[in-house]
Amino acid sequence: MADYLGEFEHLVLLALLRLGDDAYGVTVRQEISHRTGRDVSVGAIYATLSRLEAKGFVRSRLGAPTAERGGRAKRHFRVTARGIAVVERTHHALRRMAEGLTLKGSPA
Amino acid sequence: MTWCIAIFTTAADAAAIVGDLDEERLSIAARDGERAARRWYRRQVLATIGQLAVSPLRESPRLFLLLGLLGVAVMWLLFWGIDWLAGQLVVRVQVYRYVPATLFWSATSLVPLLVVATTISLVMGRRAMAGILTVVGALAVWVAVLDPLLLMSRLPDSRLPGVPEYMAQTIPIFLFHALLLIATTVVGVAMRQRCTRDGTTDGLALAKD
Repeated sequence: MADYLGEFEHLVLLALLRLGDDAYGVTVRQEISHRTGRDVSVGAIYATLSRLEAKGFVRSRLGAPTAERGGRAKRHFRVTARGIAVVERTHHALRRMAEGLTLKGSPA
Repeated sequence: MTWCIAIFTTAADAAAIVGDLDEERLSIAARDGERAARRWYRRQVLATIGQLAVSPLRESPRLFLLLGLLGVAVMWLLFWGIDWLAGQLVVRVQVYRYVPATLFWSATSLVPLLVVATTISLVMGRRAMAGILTVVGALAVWVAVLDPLLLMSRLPDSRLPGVPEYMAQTIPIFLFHALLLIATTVVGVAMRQRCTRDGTTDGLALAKD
């Protein structure tokens, strides 16, 4: 059976694609918060990124330690080819499901 | 703080998470003041630990249900096996000459807990804490439901303890066992993390649990 993304996994992958090389915990959290209004914890982001990494949709690398982070390194993430494919598949499935639907009560 | 978060994930992830928290805390302190930053930080740390503890259970609920059942079953089997061996030791070596009987039997009853917690901490990687919390949950079900049913099937009504009496006997023992399981797992995870280099999936693929 083909892989599909859960709702939060989908948001995280889209945030990574938007952020490109600047994607790490803080920016991913802020991007999701800024665009969706959802206040998510850093733990939720990392738990999801770990899962996506285990599935091969994301790769990570450690950056250089910085002073404002107490000498700790950033963990940068980027989407793999498999990750892009699964985003496309999920988008396609959502588009097909929404095709021709008019949602009553939705804002004009 | 890193240590507290590290027991629920890998050491590398914990360092990155704490670094992220520190970085955002600084920017919130500059924007909204130190008090707001402290409040945000506390809330984020608690939410992060909660998420890291629960997410493995949500990812593989069947695995953890099985682990809970298996953990209690293994502890029960080990308990009886070690009890039998200890009995043999008492008869053949006359252990009581060297160790007080209470100490000897208390120690043997703790061995199954130590074995199960150590195994989970070494085998389950970043999911070890979720694993041991599942076993503690299964143990709670055993104490609250299965053990009273077993007692009722074995003892005549006249010899059955009342509910307050049963709770007074079992709850302190359960809490002690739960704490021992959790503490042993924390120590096991910390030792494993000291011995294993956590890494990333780019470049050199290091141990990633």
